[in-house]
Amino acid sequence: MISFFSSFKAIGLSIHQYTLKYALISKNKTEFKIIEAKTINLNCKTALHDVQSLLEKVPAGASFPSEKGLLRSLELCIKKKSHIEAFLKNKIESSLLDERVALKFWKGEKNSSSFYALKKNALNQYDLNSRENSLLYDHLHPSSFAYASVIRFLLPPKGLKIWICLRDSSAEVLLFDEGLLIEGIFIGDEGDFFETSILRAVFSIWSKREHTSTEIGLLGTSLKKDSLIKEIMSQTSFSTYEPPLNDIPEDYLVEVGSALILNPISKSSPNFALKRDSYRSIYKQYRKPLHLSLILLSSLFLVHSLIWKTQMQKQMKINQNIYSEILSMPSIEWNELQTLYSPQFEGERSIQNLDLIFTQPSKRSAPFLLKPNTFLVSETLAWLKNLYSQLTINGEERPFILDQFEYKLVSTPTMKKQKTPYLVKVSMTFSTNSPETARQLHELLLKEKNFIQMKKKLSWSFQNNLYQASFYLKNYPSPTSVQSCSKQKKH
Amino acid sequence: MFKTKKTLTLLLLLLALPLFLFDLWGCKSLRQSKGHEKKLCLLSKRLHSLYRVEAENKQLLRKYLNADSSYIHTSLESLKLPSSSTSIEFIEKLSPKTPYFQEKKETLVKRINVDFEDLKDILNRIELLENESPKGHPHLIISDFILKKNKSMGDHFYHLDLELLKRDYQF
Repeated sequence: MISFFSSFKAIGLSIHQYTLKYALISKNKTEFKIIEAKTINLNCKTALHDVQSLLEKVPAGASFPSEKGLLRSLELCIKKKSHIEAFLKNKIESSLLDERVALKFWKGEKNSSSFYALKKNALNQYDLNSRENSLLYDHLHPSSFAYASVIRFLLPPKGLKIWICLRDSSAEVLLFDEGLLIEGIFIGDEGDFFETSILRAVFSIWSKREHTSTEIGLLGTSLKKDSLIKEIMSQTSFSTYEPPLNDIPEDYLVEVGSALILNPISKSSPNFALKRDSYRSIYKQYRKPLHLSLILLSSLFLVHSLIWKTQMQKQMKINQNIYSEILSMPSIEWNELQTLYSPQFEGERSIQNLDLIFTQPSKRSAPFLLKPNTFLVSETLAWLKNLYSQLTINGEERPFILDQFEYKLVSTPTMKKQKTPYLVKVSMTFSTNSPETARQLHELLLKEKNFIQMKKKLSWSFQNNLYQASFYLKNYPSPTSVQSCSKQKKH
Repeated sequence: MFKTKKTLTLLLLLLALPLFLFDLWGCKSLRQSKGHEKKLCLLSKRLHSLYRVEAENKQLLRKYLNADSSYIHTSLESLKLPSSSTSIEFIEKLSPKTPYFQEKKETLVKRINVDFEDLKDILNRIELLENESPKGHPHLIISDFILKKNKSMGDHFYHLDLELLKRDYQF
């Protein structure tokens, strides 16, 4: 996966009538390597099959001979891309040329736009060849653009520069501007006039522009290379320059260039592959990680869905248990409840108007306890008597004289405040024969958890030889314990 | 060959999208269901407590079915206390009516002098200590009870101040 992002592999093709030339390259930040460069016979099925399987794995760029179309640059006043396209289309159509405007660029003060125009049906034979042999590619371009990408890779050109690319008995004269190919002329097999034709092309390109460069780049090989260099030296003021090829075989320059176009997909190069039968989108490069991530994503969702589904089932069972428990409770008018509250356990969509139950007062009886759940006066006095009997040391009762006793119901629930508890405050004043007795009583009161509310403060004071104590009485524990829902969960 | 793989990718995409949506929906309904559980628990607790209150109240109402409104006069005010010079006399004050009962505040006009036996007798008539339920006994709640030592009469005598709540239930 990591290597996928860091390194790049591509294949460059040029398809001929009976042969196929291809070059497989790999490139990363530091290293460029030609893995394979071969010419195979299209009739040799095993070799062809190897290439086809290779094409399945790596992105492919294919080139067709430049003479199929025209690469020219125009000076235009219009700037908008859509305007230029419309203008060029019109021009090309009127010149009986096909097909699409290929590339544009803007530079300096003057607007110049380069385009590559193809003759109608110029690629029919090419399409047929590639289709018949199941050769699929992501990028299709004229060979001049393949040369351009090699030149850019070998020696990034600066300013205006002419390159002559030689191949057997044909040549291409290319003009670069800041690394962009803007114009090109193809010279076919002209016999003895080959060198002269090349020179004429150089002049025709160069005459339109201001002279700044004194060098002409030479790429490729031809039998007439030496005589061409001689001609250039003798007839022009240019000198020639041949860059080192960095292990690129001279015979496979176009194929290597076609592969290089794909990294990164060059916007300065037209792609004629679109809408053709043999076109295969560049998505192939991302297919593996895409598939992998999709499978991972899907399985993740699947697992997640399964988990929540089982949890949902558990949850619904819990809810159903609580609900059935509610229904089993007596003395509630269930018709009324069920109209208010209708859970749908199958889909469990909504619990309607549940809040109404909490706010609606019961019609049958008071919503609070009518009988105070506190200790009675008589019970409190009996408890005090019991406490008194505990104030003994060695079986001898300690004198404890009650001076005043007050039992006051300080709060009761009302219709407005239904949750207010019944609360009783007890205050007593008493005297003892010794402080120890008082202390003992204080301790006993502090320990009395069954009768006294420990959460509320027990006050204790001493004044005029009298002790004063006041506290709140505890409420009865509720007779029927409320079942907690946590119990339900365990079932 | 690659065309089938492309179709496979598309299929996977198409599969992943509803799964994703299904997953989102599932999480939402699970959350909802957990919310329902909380609401049901609340309902259960609330109904339990309502039920408990109702059961206890029903029991209480049964007990005071034949309450006599003149019970205080017949049973308490008629009580003769040998130790007290003053007679037992209550003053009645109506509290605002509720849908379930009418409450009256009964306050002793004058504090009375009591010894332990008297006290026991009075409390028995109010709180029904011996669990006897004399005919016509209304629901009486002691809201204020003050015993203060009567120093002039010795250790066993106390002044008693009393305030009662009398609840009359409607049937």
